[in-house]
Amino acid sequence: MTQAMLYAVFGIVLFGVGLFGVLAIAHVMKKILAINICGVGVFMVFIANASSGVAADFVPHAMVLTGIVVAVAGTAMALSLVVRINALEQQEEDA
Amino acid sequence: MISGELVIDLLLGGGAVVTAVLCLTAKDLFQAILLFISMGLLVTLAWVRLGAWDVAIAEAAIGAGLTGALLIATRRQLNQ
Amino acid sequence: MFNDLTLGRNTQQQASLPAGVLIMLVLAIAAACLFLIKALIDFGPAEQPLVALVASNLAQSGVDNPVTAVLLNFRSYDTLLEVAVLLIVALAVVPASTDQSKLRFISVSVPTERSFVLEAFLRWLLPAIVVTSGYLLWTGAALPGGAFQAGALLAGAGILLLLAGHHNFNFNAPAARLLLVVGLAVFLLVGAAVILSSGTALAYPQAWAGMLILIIEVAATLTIAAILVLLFCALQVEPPRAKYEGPKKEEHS
Repeated sequence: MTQAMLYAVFGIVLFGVGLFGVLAIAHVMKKILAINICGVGVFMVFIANASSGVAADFVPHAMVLTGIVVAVAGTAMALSLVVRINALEQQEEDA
Repeated sequence: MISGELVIDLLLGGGAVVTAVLCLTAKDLFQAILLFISMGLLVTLAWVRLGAWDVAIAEAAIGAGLTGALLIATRRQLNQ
Repeated sequence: MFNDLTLGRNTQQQASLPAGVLIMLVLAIAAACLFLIKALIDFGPAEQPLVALVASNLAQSGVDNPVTAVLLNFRSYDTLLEVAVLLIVALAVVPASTDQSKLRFISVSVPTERSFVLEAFLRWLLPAIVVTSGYLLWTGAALPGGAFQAGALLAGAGILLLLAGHHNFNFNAPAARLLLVVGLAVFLLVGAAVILSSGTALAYPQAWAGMLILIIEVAATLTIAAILVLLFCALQVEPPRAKYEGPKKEEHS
C-alpha cells in the first residue's frame, strides 16, 4: 500500500465520520464541525491522488487551496446564521 | 518491514480520524472546537508529508487558526 | 432528522435518534466507505495528464511556483469566482446599518478589560505578522505562499488587534467598503484590460504576466484579510434584536 493510497483511505474514513456527524448529531455547531470534517476528508483524497504519480500534480493543490478558503467562508456564513437564530430564540423566550 | 515513514503516516492519518471522532463525540462544545483545531493541525502535517506545501500553509492559517477563532467567537455568543 | 436542531452549551442535551436508526446509519456509511475504498484500490493510480501540461507551460505563466501559476494564470476563473464568493459572504454578514457610514474605519477606545500580556505581545507580534504576510505574498511567485496565505495571516493580525480591545473596525466606512471590493475590482479590471492585448479575458500577455499577477495578488490579499476580519467582527457583536418582532401572534382585543 503506497503512501498516497493510505492517505486516500484515511480521507474516505474522515468523510464517513463527518457524514455520520452531519446526519446523526442534533447540535447545530457540531453539525457545522462535521461538515468541515467532511470537507477535510475530500481535500485529503484530492491531495493524496495528486501525489500518487511520479511528479506532484499541482492542479488539485490549487483547487484544494480554493476549497479551504471557500469552506471557511461557508462556515462563517453558517455560524452567523447560528448566532442570529440564537438571538431570535432568546428574544422569543424573553417575550 | 515497517519503515519509519509509514509509522508517521499512520500516526498522522489515524490521529486525524481519531481526533475527528473525539470532536464529534465530545460532551462540551469548547472541547469539540479544540479537538477540531487539533485535527486541523494534524492534517496540516499530513499535507506536508504529501508535499503540498502551499496547502499546508493555508490550512495552518485558515483551517486551524481562523476557523477556530470564528467557532470560539460563536460559542461565546451562544453562552451569553 | 433535521427538525430537532439544538443550540446550547452541553451538546448531550439533545434529542438523539433511536438506536436502530443510528446503527443503520453507521452500517450504511461504513458500506459506502468500503465501496469507495475498494473503488480506489481497483482504480489504481490515476493518469495525470495535467502534470506535464503545467510543467511545460510554467515558463510562460510569469511565476515559478506552479500552484500560484495554476491559481492565477491557468485557472484564474476559479480564483476570480472565489473572491466573488468571499464578497457575497461578506455582503451577507456586513452589519446593515448605514448610519455608521460617516464614522472612521478604525476607531480607538480604552477597553474595559485590559490584557497586558496580549498588549505587550502584540507590540512585537503585529509588525512581525505584517512583514511575514508581505514576505509570503512576495515569495508566492517562486516558493510556497501567495495571496490566500498572506491574506489569512494579515486577518489573524487584525483579529488579535480586535481581541486586545483598543481598536474597533467599522465596516460601514467608505475605506472599509473599498477594502472589501478592491480584490474583485482589480481582478476584473485586469482580466478585462488584457482583452486589448491578447483578445481573451484573463489571458495575460507573457511579458507582463508576472507583474499583473502580483498586482492582482496584492489587491486580493487586502480583500481576503478584510473579509476574514469582517467575518470575525460580525460574529463578535450582538446582532440587533429590535428589528424583529417575532412571529405574529393572534391577539384579541
